[in-house]
Amino acid sequence: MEQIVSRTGFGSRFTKAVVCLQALLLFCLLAVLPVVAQDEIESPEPVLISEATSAKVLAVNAENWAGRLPVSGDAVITPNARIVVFVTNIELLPDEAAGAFRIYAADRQGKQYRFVVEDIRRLEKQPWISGVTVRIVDPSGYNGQPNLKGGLAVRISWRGNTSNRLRLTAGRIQIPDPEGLLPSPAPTASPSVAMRGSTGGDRKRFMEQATFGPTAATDFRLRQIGIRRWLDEQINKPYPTIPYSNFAQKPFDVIVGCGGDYGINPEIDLCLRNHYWIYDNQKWMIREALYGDDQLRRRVSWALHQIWVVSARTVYQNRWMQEYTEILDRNAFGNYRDLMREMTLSPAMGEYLDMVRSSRQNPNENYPRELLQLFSVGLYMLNQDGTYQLDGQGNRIPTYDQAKIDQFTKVFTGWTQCSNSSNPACANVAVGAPNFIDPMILTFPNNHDQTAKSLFNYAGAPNPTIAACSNCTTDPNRIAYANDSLNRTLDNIFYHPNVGPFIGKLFIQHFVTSDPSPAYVSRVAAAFNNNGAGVRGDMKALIKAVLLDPEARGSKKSDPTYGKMREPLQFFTNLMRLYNVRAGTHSSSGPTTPPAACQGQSDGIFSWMMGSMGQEVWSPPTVFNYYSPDYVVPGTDILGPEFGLANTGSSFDKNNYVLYLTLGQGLWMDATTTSNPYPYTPCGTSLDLAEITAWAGADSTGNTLIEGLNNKMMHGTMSEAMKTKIRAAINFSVPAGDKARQALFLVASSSQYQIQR
Amino acid sequence: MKDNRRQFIKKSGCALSMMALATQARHFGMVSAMSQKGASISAPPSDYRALVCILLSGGNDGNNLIVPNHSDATISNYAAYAASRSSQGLAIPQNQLLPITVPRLSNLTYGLHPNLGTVAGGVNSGIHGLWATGKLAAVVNTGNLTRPLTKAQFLGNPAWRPYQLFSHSDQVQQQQSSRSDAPSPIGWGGKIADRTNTANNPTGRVPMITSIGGTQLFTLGQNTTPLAIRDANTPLNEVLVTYSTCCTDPFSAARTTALAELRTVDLDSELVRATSHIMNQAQTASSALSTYQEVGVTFPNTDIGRQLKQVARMIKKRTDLNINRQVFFVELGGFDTHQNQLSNQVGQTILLAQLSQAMRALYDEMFNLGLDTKVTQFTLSDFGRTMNPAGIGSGVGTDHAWGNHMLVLGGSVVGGNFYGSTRPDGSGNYYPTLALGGPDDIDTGGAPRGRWLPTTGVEQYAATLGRWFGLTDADLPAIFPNIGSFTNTDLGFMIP
Repeated sequence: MEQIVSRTGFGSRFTKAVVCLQALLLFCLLAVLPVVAQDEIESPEPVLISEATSAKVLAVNAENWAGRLPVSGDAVITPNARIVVFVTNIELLPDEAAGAFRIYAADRQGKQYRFVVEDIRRLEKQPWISGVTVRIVDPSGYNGQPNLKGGLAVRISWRGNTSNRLRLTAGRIQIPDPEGLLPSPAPTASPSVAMRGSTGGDRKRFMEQATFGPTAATDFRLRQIGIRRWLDEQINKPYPTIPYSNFAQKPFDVIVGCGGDYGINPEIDLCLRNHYWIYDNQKWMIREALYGDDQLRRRVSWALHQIWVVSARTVYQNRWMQEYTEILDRNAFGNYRDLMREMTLSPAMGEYLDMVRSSRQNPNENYPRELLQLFSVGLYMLNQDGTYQLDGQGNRIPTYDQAKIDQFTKVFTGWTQCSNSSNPACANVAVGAPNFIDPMILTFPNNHDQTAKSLFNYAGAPNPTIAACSNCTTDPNRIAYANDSLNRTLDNIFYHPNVGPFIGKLFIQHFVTSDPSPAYVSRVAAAFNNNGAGVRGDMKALIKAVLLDPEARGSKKSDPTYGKMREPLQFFTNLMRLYNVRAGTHSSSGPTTPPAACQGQSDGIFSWMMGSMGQEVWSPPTVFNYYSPDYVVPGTDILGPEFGLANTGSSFDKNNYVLYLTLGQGLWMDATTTSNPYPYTPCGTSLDLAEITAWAGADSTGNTLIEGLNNKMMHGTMSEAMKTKIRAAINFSVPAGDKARQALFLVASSSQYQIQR
Repeated sequence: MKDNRRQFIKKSGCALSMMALATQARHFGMVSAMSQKGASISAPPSDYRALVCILLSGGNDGNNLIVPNHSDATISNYAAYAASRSSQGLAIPQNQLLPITVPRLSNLTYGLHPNLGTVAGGVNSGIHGLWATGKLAAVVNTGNLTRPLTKAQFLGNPAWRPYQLFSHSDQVQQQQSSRSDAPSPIGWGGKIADRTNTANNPTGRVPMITSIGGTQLFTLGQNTTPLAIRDANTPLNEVLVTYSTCCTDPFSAARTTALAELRTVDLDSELVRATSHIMNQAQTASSALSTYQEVGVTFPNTDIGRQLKQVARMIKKRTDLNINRQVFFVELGGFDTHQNQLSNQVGQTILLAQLSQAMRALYDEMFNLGLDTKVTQFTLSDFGRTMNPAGIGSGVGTDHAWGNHMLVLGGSVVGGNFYGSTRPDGSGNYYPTLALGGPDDIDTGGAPRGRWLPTTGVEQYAATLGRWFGLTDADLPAIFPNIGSFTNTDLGFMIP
């Protein structure tokens, strides 16, 4: 590292930035930073080194490698062989190693393979070049193993950027290079690695990752104070800064609660909507996403919802779901251990995963199983970088078995809703209605299993066993024992080494990229394990590690597997925020003015759109979320969770909704009338296209419009090919507004925009 | 074939420029044709066949789907069933069971769940009557297995167990991937399509697989994604409509052109390419589905009823779609009945009524079209549920277990019998012993719950259906990687 620092002018600041990231100490940030915004790291594209005059990759068999740069690419290429290839134009963090690199290979049939990178080390004589040891095997085996005889096109990627492509062929036979592959011989001196500061493109990418979509105001603030201080500003906002939707809890039975069923009179319909349906929670959520200031808290809370799933398909009252969402919000910047306890005792979770019905006499293993599988440790033993630990036969090692589930289940027996009005803990109990507000308690303490439990027993595990209760002869003693057991058990889970990589990877997937490099997962897991001040589970450290990582930052990412499909909700909130989303301009009967009460803002009602694309807000179909984090993009072996919602039907739906918003008149509003006194969409939703219409009007070539859209929506990464296609579609004598709408529709509906990169 | 290609490459002297072209080839579907080498290639079939996979997600309680309705003391009888289930209120009263005769078990009487017959508000008489006419069969005590297992082997060889037994997400995936030794990103429906679509449907206008239950593992192959459409609430000619291609004036036409052409660029990103591929598929299918004929019989207006109605509409379009072999996927959720299993609103009770009504409607529609022998409906489900109930009284439910009973329905089914009911040692006829802690219960210790060790693997079940669909002996191991561990790969419930 010393060498790097002295060699590149950028190095010293870079190093300090890293130390800051790890320490996360405010004084460190202040000490290093002037008042102006700090630049983020912009990682360059790595360069794979070829022979001097051809595009054949310089390679040597690992067993023959003496640590020097070979002169030709004569490695013997056989299945499972270890070869060393050479890369330059990189700068490694102190602990950045093989897991930061991926080697992609395509055989002549076009099948793609991802080989294992086993080692990387700098050459002694040419320290600007590193030798990368690769094993010629695709561990996923998705496409089988490549036929090496025809040669492979290979490239290496690092921090979301890919290198040049070279050919990897066996032996000494010289053949012409295929079209498009150019030699990239070893540089004879250190290239100046372009670790330049961040750009507007990176700010836009950051806003897509950390908010529900870029706005001019956020961009302005980021210019002023930089990404790190913006993160602190968001984290330090007082909680809550926004009023929640608030309706009284009602009995389970609709007819009792509202005095009737649908369609009897408008007042009953209103009661149903406000109490027995999550209309208001959905509206509240979407409006906060569109207009709220607590953007980061909302994004974290939304990600936590997709991990700690409770669905309004079961927990259907507005007030019930609201209490659950407040737990997510409250703990978004707190400690994961606190979230585990609050969520465990949440009556909504208790109802959803049956803990409220689990007793010593009739244990229910649903909650403990999902607590382990989905909310904390996952199914298999992980390395810190999120890869699976393997046994001697190469199999994954289960984290637990059924016997262990049975043991954990005992701890979660006996808890019920807080329904005893004489108990001061049950402050929110109402006669005739279940209590979904106060945490669950032991109403009948003797329903808790008081026998001994055998929990996780990893190295250093706290509480690997819990002894049977020795004094459970009175209710207070039983309650004390159950509470103590719960805390011990949650500690036993929380300190399991899987939690950091398991939760860390999920967060990366929700914010940045679907299939992160092991090195990225490892850095995030390290931040979860220790926030720099010895604290485990600090959400602030986790979030910063995810968003400030060099694999997240940079203005452009060229790795062919980098990025994520925008999930339906964020796809539309991004589009809307980019275009100053506002109240509607039309109803079903034509142009109209929204009521003054709307204050010009959208009512946030488009759950029907979300539902048809598989993401009705707060209503995932199962505890496995709207989509699975393990979903693999069809036709590839790369993870793409959000592709789980992408199919022929939903892709057309998305296309049509984009059409309504861009070429159409937006989403209609319903007027308040005698027959419809409580309209569901009182304000409607539309986009403000004045800016892009002006661009279209100012330049008849269309270039101003296209470049404007490019910068606004694709942070300057739009390809020339894409620009050409769009230009052809707007090269007409039509009003500027029509041109603008046409171009916006084409960009917003494109596959290129649907992928957040 | 292999040599010819090598020759060609040598002669053309451009082995590596092929490589450069390869990325392009992927985009235009050439890979899928290439990757099918080794698959049986022959003329497309002259008849039509369809498999309809009905996933009962959440884990259907097979113990209340099929119940012993006899008092034979040599095999678990009604009393044995009631002993485990009646005190907590989960046992179906014997006089409510719908009787079926089981030739394989000495013509003993068993009972189907009462809601598989006529139900209040129903649109038909349900599927119970099709047992006696030989169109409905049950494959009993089936489950995810890596290999045949005895209880001793199960207890002594943890490595032989399916991974993550009793976990919903894993077990429902194993049902769909057919393999329980390792997670797989592709399903057995998708793998069948990978291997046979080109030969069976050389000019098909839609993918081999249509899913009305979303894009799920069963429907995904290496090169296969399903046509995913909505249920029959949406007319078939409206399931895939994009209004952006509505108009023919030059400005609108330019939009249509650009929309299509944008999907041919920037394909270096795997994610962009996959997104464009889905949209291309939608566009092709959209034009193929611009017209349709309505069904003749009444389908129930339920989730599963609307899904199977849409299946019927698709099948009626088979000639127009140039398709000879089709796989459909539908899903009925809500079977994770840890509680309220008997509820008439949400429990298994109502779900089975919906299932039976919908399956019968599809069968009747196919019968009226003369297609009843060409269309086979079958069920999958995560797992069975514990014999020992969870809870008591009106809220009673069951927990996650293993071995389960599946239903197969169609004119080519050798119905009216149990299948998969061979003893683990291969001898005699068999039904799991319904005793907590008994010989078929893998639970050990103080409080066994009744989790049956399956006697038939999902791969055997799937392979039997696959053979009827047209898979050859050579196809089986390519699609069902562990099929070689089982001696019987044709359970015999399908007429070839």
